[in-house]
Amino acid sequence: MAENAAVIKSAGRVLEIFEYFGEKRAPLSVREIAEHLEYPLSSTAALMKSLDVLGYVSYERHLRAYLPTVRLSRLGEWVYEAIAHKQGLVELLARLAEKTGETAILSAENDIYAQIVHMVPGDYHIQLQVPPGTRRLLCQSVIGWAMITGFNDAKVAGLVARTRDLLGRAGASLSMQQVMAHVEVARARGFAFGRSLTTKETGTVALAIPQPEGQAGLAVSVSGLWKRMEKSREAIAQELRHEVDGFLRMANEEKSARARARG
Amino acid sequence: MDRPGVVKSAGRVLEILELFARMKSPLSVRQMAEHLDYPLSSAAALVKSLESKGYLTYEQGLRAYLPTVRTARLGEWVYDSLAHKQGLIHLLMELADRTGHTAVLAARNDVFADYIHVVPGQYELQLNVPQGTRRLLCKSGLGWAILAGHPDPAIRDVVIRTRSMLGRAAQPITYDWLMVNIREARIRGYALSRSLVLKDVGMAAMALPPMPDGSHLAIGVGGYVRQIEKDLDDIVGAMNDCLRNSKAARKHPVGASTKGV
Repeated sequence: MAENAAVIKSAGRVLEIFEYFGEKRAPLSVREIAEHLEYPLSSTAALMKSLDVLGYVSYERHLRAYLPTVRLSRLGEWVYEAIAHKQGLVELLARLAEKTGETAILSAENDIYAQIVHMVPGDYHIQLQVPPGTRRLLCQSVIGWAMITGFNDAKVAGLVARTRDLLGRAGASLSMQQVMAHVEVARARGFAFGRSLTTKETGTVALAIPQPEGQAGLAVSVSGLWKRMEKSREAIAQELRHEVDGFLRMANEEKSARARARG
Repeated sequence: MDRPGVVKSAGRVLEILELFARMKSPLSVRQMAEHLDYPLSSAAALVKSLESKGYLTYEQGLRAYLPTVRTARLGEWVYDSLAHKQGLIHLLMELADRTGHTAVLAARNDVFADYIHVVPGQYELQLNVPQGTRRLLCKSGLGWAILAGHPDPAIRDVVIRTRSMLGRAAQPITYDWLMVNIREARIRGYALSRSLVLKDVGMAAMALPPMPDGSHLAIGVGGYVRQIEKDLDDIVGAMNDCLRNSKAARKHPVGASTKGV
């Protein structure tokens, strides 16, 4: 048992270190990590060395500090897709694609992006194909606007600031007013709709799936040729609403069934 | 297996999360212990601790564990930080300023090239692709530049995995088709795509030397294909200068780049 307690301690520390990196989003020295997390300096140094050997952090000599590598981001990339399968969201997309004939997409909120988790192509000859893993800026995409409808103003302000920061020159013209203008329209309509900013010929109808507090946001959307989408947006929005409502009802029923089972 | 120089349980907790990422399925404690060759009791202790911290959740119906969104978010910010390392953003800005076209930094992610930073150009007619865009390595200028630095068997492997992922949509990606473009990129020292994904868009691209953390990056200059073709000599010259002057390239001599491979 004593051995397991030690195992659990350093396993937990590895995760705490990564969480701290996520909070700071900057290179961190062994001393900074040890001080902030109140670990002994020597064991922090040993842990960081281990993570370096395993390829999860790299030592930036000129900064005398560590930074996580992409290996860390790969650990979790597939998880959203697994969650989508588990929750029946993949079937939901398939139904949407069949009913509308257009491409149905599930996206998850991921930092400043909406990341495409799963896509079911439509059956028109001209249809949108976006590889899962593609990320669209929350501030500058129809899917993103749908997700932002659930944010409060402080959260939007933080998102805009961070997006501007990460985009550098490409983000110079981005403003809170600009984003809010789109989001307010989406709130009033009950769904987000617009021409794709990346592929001008396509239009998208998107709806957020409300998630429990603290969970990453999800959205479902349908995309296709702008000309078709302009005509059928209300009908498509209705299909989306119908599917999302059904999904939420199921989730609630499951939740109460679990609560009952627990007594 | 436990590695020398690694705090045992630090390695094990990551091995468990890696096993999930590899298997892409729910796993029981017994399965984890068997795959990773751990005693059942220590696997159970690790899993319990991951569960209590919210990184794994027990699925009653499946009698197995699955990672949570918390695990998914652990490293989601790391991608963007890649561009902020070693002055690469500065390099892209210089490239955009010198050429007037849009400059893009891409990173290899499995069989994809992910655009991790974009600096827009100044021409009225300019390429507008956002950060976060994902292209196939096999079917993009930036992807070809990255692949050109890989040995042929590794490229063949990427083609096989891409084709099996795309199924019917794999056209025109075949190994022979790709290698024509890769060989051309190797001889020239840069890759050039014309109307490959987006009609009328051209992209000239070069790989950076492999980064110390093992990531593969490439820079590219893209825009209206005819303008790119016209400006090609200047673009290639600017890319070569930028790479020579970049900190990233200085640290690792040019011999490691795709040039002359």
